[in-house]
Amino acid sequence: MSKILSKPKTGSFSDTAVAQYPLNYVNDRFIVSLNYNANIGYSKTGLYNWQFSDKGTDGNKYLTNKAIYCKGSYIIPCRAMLSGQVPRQTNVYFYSDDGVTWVQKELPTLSRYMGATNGEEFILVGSLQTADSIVIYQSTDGLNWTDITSKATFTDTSGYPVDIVYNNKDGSYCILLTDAKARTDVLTLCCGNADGFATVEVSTQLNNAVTSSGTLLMAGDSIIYYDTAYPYIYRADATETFLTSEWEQIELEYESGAIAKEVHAGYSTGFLLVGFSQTKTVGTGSVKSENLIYIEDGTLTQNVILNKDQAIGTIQAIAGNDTRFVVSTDTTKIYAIDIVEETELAPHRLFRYQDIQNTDRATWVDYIAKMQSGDFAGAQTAVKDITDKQLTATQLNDLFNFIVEMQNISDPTFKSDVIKTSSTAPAGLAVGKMYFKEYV
Amino acid sequence: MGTTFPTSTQSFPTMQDMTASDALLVSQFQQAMQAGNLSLAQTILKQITDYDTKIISAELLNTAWDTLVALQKYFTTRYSPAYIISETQPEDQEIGDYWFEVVETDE
Repeated sequence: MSKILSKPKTGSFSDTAVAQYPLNYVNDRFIVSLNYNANIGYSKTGLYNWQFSDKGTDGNKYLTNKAIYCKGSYIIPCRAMLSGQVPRQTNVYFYSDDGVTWVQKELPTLSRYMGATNGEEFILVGSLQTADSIVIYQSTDGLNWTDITSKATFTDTSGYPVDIVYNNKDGSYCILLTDAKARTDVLTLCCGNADGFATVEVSTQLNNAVTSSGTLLMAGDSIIYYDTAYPYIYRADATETFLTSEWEQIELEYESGAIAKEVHAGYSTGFLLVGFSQTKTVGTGSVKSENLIYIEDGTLTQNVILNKDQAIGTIQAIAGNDTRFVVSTDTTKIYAIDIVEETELAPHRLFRYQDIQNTDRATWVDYIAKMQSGDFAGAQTAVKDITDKQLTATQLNDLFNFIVEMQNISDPTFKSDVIKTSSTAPAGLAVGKMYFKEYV
Repeated sequence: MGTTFPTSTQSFPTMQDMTASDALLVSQFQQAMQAGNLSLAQTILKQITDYDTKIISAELLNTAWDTLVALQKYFTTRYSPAYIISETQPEDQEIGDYWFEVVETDE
């Protein structure tokens, strides 16, 4: 039976965020950092019950990178203050021991930080905005940091980190770098751990597709690379020695004549969910659509076109849930996509029962007597021919499964622009929306 | 009591039939009930393996019926006649729906 992507299930985001990235699932919760007001939010489901706390303690707001969790500590590295700062770099990061309450901490040097963990330690890597000046820090508690930069060997062109990921297949961290802020399309990959890092150039393999928005992603036996500014996505075999592994482009199917970009991806067991936007010229204007596809065993299986409210941001899988992805957007929306079995609702014949009739009385009495005497097999035999007058677990389970199946007919966008008819203005009516006033 | 739908999917336990190994305890349970000893009956019931998925409780049935009612309300509202404003005609319109075409909007 084939699998398909469910229609988006829209969640509620209580904060009035205008930018809600980066979203990350760490430990047992989703954590999102809001760039515009410096708040950090968490939710167990990613869709509902978001709670926010103010992370700023020095009066400044910071641009953050993905939250990381290791052995009871959460940290959020920062790239820079939100505004009013040149050059854009910082030594501030945020620390929490519960993922709820955050405190501001400082690293020894200014930089633009991002991080990863192998479950035993944090590794942060960064560089000043205006110079090739990579620093790598290691910490086992998220509070005390050791400078291990000297353990790494870089090339002349590896000066600015784009992203870092921990490769659990060979026990190394992989840092993708460009040559300083100019980013003249020279890409290097620096791989290793606290015992030592080595660097190799990978520019041509990745088609020189790099900006500061590049992302590395572990996906089973593969490492995925994509950059939101380019319509490409690449994979390398994570089980090989990473420095020697060849990168290959995953072919995405774009609409003919469309310009595609803003690629994002998330991975759950066996599935790579890829989101991207397409812009196509129509007449004198253009039409933009948001698309989601998922890839199983390297095969594109479905293309879902979303509406504009569901513009794709971070795609985040949930640990322990192989089939759900939570997708953030660049608006206040957040939603979930499930990978589901493609099924048609089978005709159900539920509870077509008859009452026990007079003619069944002897059987009924016999059944009760046998049950009360402990003759279970005899009781079953007694009623084997009156199946439409007994209730078994199978029938209840059929009913309950059918009810759950009906609930999961998620169709949140159907008639989503409905104009309500009401005698009074509907609650939550947004500016620009309308309703028909009902005559009463 | 009640249902979590439509806020979230209301799940149900996977029910099981009694097995032969449960027969003795079931018999004792029934005897306790017939004797009016509810406390003893409850004690015996809890000795049955996976007893909570082998008994139909009022709470289970109420949750199921509440979910069915919530489903009816949900789909009745969702699929009632719609008035849709969009630049392109919706593909999922039904007889009785209205479509207002928006022209010359900015992206």
